[in-house]
Amino acid sequence: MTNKLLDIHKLSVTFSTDEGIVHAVNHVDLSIKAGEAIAVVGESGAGKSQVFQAVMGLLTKNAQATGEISFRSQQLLNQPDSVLNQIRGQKISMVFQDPMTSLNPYLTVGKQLVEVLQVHQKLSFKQAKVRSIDMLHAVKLRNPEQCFNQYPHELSGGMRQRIVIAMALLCRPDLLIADEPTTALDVTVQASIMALFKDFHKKNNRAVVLITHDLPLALIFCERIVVMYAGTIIESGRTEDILYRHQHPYTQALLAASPQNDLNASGRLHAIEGMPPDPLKPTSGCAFYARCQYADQKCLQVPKLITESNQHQFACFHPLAKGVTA
Amino acid sequence: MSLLDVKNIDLSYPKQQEKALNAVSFSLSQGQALGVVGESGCGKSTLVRAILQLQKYQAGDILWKGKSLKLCTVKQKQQFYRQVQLIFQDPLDALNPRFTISQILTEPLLHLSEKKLNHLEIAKKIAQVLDYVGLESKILNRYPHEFSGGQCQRIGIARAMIVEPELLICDEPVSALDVSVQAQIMNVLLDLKEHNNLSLIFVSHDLSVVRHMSDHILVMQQGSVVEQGETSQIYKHPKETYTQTLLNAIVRC
Repeated sequence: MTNKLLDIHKLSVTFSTDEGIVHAVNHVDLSIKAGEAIAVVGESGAGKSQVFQAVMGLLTKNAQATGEISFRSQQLLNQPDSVLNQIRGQKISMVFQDPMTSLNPYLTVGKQLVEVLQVHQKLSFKQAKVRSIDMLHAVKLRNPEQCFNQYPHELSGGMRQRIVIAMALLCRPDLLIADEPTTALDVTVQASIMALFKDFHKKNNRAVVLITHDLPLALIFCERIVVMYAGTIIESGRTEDILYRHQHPYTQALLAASPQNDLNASGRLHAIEGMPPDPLKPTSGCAFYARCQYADQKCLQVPKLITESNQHQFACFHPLAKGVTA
Repeated sequence: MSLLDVKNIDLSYPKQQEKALNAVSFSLSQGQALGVVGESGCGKSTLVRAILQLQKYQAGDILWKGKSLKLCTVKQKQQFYRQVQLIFQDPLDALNPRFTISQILTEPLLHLSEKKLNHLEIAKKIAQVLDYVGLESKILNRYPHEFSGGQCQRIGIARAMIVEPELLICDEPVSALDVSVQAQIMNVLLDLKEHNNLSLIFVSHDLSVVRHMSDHILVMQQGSVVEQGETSQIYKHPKETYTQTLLNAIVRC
């Protein structure tokens, strides 16, 4: 048995809607090793969240998922809640984008934290309270005892996100999935929240998946990066490969679009023109075809993922020259 | 002459000890862009509300083209609202879900135009603003929920631009958007500023976003302006430690 923690094999997710079938995720292969920090990067609608909603068994009722997802060789996909509940929150936990909507507004922070331990680890209230307050200390909340008795609306966005993270870490999961954890937060708060994840990852050697649209953020935090576009993986590799030797034009465009870069010669930002393809109408060729400056006849076929050295993979007929920088 | 003068504004909310705005002053000339940066809760949005007279301030004065807005008549105020338009953070929230795009774009013309416009003139104006923001006319009969965040923000900008404002206030216009769409929207705003001699107030918590959009930057902390100056100056040689903190928080690769 290898040290694969989570193995996703040929995962496809479709949604049946009134307008037709939405192809959100197409044949995604992805595996995560124990203790690894990886990022899944892409625009909204790229399917990055849906992959992990499928892992957690949180897909909506109109969704259909095919393929295989195994966690430590236990099947997760399309399993009943009774099976999933022994893993969710205990072995794998998830942090969502909006900290207000993932907390129950009617319950105090303490009640919500203690509940996790009472359910998963059958602790008494007293024991659970001690552990919860310890965890609130660990996520560097200023006044944990006071926070414990407060309601979510009394706290700021950054504090709420810290509480959600504390909740996710309570059972010391092997895998933490963070879905756009800092998008709703200020840049200064973002830095401190990312530091928390780094701490958790480094100190406890636990695996972290960061789902984000912000490629620079992924680059500084993660060891491996997976770039998704229109439901498929178009490039993946170690962080330095993605940063210095990226091969897919989309990865290049995503790096260039960041406002940290300088303006181009005409005094504008390097925007990616156009929109991602409509998931209702699956394209026959490369999904990036319509927006790609290198596209030609060849790209009307679907490019396969080519593996280069060091697990660097990309799906493009016109890979960029070696040694390019953003 | 400056377009907008904000002079020593003090503002506190009821039952709160600390001032939300503390002696905030700046002025903005025609065609200029001012960036306002700071963390959430520093008073950026309160400042926008004060400028738009949506929030009463206890001391100080705000002058529009040299005239105090406190002493305005109702008619003058209406004119002020035509000349100053606002773009919001959440593009979908800011559009009426029951209105078609055509209705959304027509409404400001009906209420804020100086003279009554006929159908032809309205259609012409709508075509013009759609062109500004890079949308096609076939979207006009659709509803806001049918569009992505970036497209909704374009519609929001079109709605603001349709009354030909002189000042556009953008309150975190790109923080709810993806990086790639952010760049598109910022380019639209840069184009508008260049071609229409538009003045901008650009509010954001992200200095890297603000620096592309503005000639001057105002750094706010807890209701006070801690640093103010030319963009390049602030970006390259920040004087205050707080500005330095904001700069350090930017993720660079």
